[in-house]
Amino acid sequence: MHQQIKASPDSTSENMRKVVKALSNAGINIEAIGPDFQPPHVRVLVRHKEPYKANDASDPFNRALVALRGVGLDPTVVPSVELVSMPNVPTALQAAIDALDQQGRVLDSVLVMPDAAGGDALVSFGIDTTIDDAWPKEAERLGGLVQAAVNKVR
Amino acid sequence: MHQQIKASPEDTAQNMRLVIEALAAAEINIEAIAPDFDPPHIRVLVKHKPNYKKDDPTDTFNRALEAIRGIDGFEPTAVRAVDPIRMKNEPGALKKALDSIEQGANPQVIDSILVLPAAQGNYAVVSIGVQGEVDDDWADQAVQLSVAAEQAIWGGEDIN
Repeated sequence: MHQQIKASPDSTSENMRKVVKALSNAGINIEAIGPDFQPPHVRVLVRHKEPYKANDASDPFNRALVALRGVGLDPTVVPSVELVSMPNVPTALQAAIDALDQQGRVLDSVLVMPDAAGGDALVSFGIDTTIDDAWPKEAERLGGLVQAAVNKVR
Repeated sequence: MHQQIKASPEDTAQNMRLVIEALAAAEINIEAIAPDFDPPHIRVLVKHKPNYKKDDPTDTFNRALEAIRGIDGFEPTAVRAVDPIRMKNEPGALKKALDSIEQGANPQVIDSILVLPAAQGNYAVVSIGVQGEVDDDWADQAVQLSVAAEQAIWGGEDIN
């Protein structure tokens, strides 16, 4: 499973460099990385164990948070919908974003990972909201809706 | 073949939305898209024909430029991108690539990172944008920078 982390405070390129270096030094694999829609924040996608426990110091996700704090960043875990498998065809991304719009959701990041299975990309959509107890189910529901919308344009 | 386009002028989220809408309306496939390191610009990756010609209106890349120019206030520009790099899915791989491009024999300033969906085996394909204008010398440099980055990532290992 994957989750997005948001990190800060210099210029976007400086933040990007700092995040890449910190996670590399800690031996943590970056699944995806990109600028936040709100500059100069950076979003990075890191795997976590399943089930995720915030107090498990061996979980790569928690190790990533520690590594980022260690270089003076103030990382926060941010909400993203379940990964969507996106075909490499025109209008697929538009269909996904329209589906989120129709749910009244505001997009604040798009991170892409290659899908090891082949032609599709795996896309993590960050949403401008707060993580509460209801979020995991909502993330799953939104992921399902977006996937259904995207599948229509395959 | 792929090339990056840089586009402008609202906030990042709005620019992203406008570019996606314009390219969807023109039936142009987005290979990859992400905010530029220099906000609020957007980078979008679109395929072009192997023997790219700026004056070929049927080339998808030129159609994409045209579609984005059609958005009020947008002035898309073709920007420098290193030839796509096959990135190992392991810790430190991205840092090795960035170090190679920024500190290698022909140092560059990186201003975007886009991931392509073309995964094969144990690697992702990544397009790294760098500052500077696309001139006649760029194509060769783009290949050399990519080869050097892959060498830094993979060493002598068989990528496939």
